[in-house]
Amino acid sequence: MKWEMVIGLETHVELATETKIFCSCTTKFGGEPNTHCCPICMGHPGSLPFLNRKAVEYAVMAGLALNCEINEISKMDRKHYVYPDLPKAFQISQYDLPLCLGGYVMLSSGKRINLNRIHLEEDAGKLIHENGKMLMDYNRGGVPLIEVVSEPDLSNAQEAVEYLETLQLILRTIGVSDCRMQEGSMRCDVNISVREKGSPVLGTKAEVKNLNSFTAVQAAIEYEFARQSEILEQGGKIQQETLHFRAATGETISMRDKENADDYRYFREPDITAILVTPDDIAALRERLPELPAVRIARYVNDYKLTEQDAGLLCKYKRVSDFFEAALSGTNNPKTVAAFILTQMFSLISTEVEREKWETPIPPEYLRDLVLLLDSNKINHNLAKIIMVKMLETGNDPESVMKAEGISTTEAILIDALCANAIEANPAAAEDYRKGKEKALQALIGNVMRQSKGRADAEEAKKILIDLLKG
Amino acid sequence: MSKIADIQKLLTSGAISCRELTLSYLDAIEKQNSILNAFITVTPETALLTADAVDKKLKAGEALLPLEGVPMALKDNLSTAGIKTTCASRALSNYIPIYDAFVWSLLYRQNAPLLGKCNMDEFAMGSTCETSFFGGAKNPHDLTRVAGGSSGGSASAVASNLAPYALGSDTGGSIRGPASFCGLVGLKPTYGTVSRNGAVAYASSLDQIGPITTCIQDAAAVFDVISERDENDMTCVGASEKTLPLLGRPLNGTKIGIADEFFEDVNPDVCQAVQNASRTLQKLGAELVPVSFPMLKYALPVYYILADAEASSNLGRFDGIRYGPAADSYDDINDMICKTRDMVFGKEVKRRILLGTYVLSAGYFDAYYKKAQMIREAMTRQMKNDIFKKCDMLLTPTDPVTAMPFGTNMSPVETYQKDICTVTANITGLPALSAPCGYDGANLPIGMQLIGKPFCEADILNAFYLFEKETDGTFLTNLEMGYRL
Amino acid sequence: MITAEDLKKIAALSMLSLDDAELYALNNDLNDIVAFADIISEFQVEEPDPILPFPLDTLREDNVYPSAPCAEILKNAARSEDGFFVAEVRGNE
Repeated sequence: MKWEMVIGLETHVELATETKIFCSCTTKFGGEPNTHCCPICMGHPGSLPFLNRKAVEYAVMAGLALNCEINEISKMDRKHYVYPDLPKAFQISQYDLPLCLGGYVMLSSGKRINLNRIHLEEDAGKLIHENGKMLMDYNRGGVPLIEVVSEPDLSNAQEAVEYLETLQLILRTIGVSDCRMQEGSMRCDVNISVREKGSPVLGTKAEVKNLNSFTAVQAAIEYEFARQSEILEQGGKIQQETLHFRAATGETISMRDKENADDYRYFREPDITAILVTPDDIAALRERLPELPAVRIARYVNDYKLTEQDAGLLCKYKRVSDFFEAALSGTNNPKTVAAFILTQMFSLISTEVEREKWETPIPPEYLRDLVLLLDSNKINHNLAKIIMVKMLETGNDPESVMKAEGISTTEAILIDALCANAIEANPAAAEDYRKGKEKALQALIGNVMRQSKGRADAEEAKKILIDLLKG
Repeated sequence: MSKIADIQKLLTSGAISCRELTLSYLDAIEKQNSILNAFITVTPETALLTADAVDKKLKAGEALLPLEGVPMALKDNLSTAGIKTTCASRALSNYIPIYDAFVWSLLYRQNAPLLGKCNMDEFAMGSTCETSFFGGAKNPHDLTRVAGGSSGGSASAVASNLAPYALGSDTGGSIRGPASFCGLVGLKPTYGTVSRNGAVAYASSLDQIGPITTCIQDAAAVFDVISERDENDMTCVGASEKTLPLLGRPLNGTKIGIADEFFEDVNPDVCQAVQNASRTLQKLGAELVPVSFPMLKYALPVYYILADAEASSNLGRFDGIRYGPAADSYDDINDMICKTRDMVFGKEVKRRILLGTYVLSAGYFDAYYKKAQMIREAMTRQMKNDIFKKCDMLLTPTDPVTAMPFGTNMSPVETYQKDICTVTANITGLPALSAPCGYDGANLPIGMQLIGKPFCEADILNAFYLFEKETDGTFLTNLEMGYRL
Repeated sequence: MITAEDLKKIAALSMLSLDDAELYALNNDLNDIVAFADIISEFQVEEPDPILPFPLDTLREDNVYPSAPCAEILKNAARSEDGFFVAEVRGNE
């Protein structure tokens, strides 16, 4: 292949605050149109913004989790453009003094994708085209967003998707967003240019918007690469333009000429005071960060000897990994705990959404108890599986399930059988004990121990032997 | 001299009920407003509802709050929920806000009966009130002349005694100019003392709301109420002290600066009156100190660049979709918006939007907007570190001229020159007070201005208060028109 | 000097549709104003003042307050339908 692609991603992420960025309207998803609005987010004449503290904190936490520098002083700016979903005809965003600078995301290949910045801004409302009309719903208007801008360090669609998945996992883990592309809480614009392999010069880039899923991102990149390299192959030039991705056909369609791009006329938002984030603030916010996915995965692999794949799956959902860790405590068998989660529980709780919520029929302690039983050989693997399935069905603890199903511990059954075997195999010793020779019991106990390879409880065996011999 | 004090005395003594009082103002408005055009909307129901509440309190023998029972008027760029707020523009000609401006809610809490919404220049852009969609407000001193702008209606109403006091807004002189033209007191507070919440923005970093009254005491009383901190306005810190109790302090030791630059190109009558006033202040114990402010030559360009830039931004939202009239014949949505805006904005507003867009646009931003901001900062620094080290306040004329006749043909640049003395206070965020100090040859009022240190409204009010007393209120306006107490 | 072409672009950015007569008049006005404003080029550029920032505890707490009822939000709209603001993509009357 003569050509290579250079990709940068601009990802918009809705922050999971209760209220909008500049007003106290709810950010709850859905709701009848224009029922989550007020003069501020509607941009009514005379209205003034009041910045949401949590939005700033979440943005800083995102920056910390993504290895950014946090600007001690940052400000908000007006970005002017006209579109019916933008009530003030400007978006309050951050231009030259954003909250976070730099940063990076590591891919599994070890490649580092650098970030340019992360800044805070407000979302626009929703515009629906229908029957030659534009319908506007401003419920979403004013929801806080962070825009994560990567450097053009991505080289192909797979890297782009992995970058997005990693970003999604990190932001979900730290709790600042649920990052659901289907619900629009995570949106991605792709900047892609093509150049000759090995060339240091960047080609003209096109921007692809309206990508609603990871598959769309992949498809759009692949389509664009083909389209652009075809043009260059023919000796043509790439137009710097904005393209709209049509999911149905997998094509990108030109939206508008980026040459006559909007002149955003940025200037500092006069109604909002500049933001101070002190080193103490940063330290406190860093404290609030939970263990980051990469660190947790590494810990699972190193300390618990899980495979990368299993560790990755467990860590993909914060609640799952929290459940895992709770179930682990006291047992010595992380692999088994993991296995039960990844097989039985995952087949019951099977969709992404469900796994994120992780509403389980049983608390982690029940899984822990089950694994403890397995560890101490009181039950074997087959039984454990059966018990697990029943536990998930009924929501009961292992003991109750075993009682209900008439399952007794391996040891209980085994030991009875072993003692019976011992008596049958040693009639002389049995006779001797019945005649009153106490020592003969030892031989029988010894037999039981040999049968169970030393795992049987000697005291238990003695009791049962005595019972059987007497009876 | 204090209308507020006089009215409250009448009310508490039982000489007149609040309802009767309010009705008499409403009656005068009905008779005179068609001539003066001071009000765009008159609000009898709201006013009388409040008046009745006051009468109830009076009957119960309860004490009145500082502004309680005193009818007033609001400039029509202050949002009043349920009551049309037009900004004297076709763009908002049918707009009814769903929320109250913070200052209105403060006065509402004081049971101040709202007589109506006052005429103004369209979106506060102008200095004569002539750009109003509803026609200009007349100057009660001479009906052939303008009341000034942009708070022309507020000034006209107060000067003609159709309202005891009114609130205006001031971005480049829009309270002080009309006050000067109409022989009234007008205060532009320090930027950040009065909440801008609900005041339709012209230039967000320059706008302030303030009182237009007939005397200093009333201005102080109103300022004290409306300067409460609003936590929902991030730029509002509120006032740190009440000014009314601080009126009457001797002027000895106060240094009043006089900068020649403010007196260049000023009408000789105006110059004379202000100079006379300076001597009176001197007599009262103030020391006159010559100071220099060469940066004044940048004030108007800086003001118009910054104000128009912010205005072009603030007015972008008027597209006919969420409020306001909309064009009904167009090719596509962009066309609809452009045609709507062409239809609903007057010429001056369009001019300022275009200039504002120009100075913010790529290629011109650095030379104009950015540069103007830097000069603004330099001016602010010079005031703080230089001028206000030499004096405590600056005395200047408010306007270089007195009220001009309606329809005076002037180019935009010529009109802008009128603001030469007033814009500096907006650019630098300083408090500025205009008070009447004389009449010109045609018997038109002349205004003088004090520009004070940040948050020192009490000091500038005090200085003019002493002047007022010393001159027995000779220059205050007490016209025969309208209802007379 | 703002040319007619420049002014057309500025008008487009300002979302104002101006007819030729208006354009001509405004062009002259604007050039006068710009000439008047050009005096600022004399001023020697200095360092901008440091920004005065405010700490996080001056910001708003994340507590939900009831939004305005939909009817209020739509009250002033020229056109609305089923809770939405409406703009016809093509208007012809």
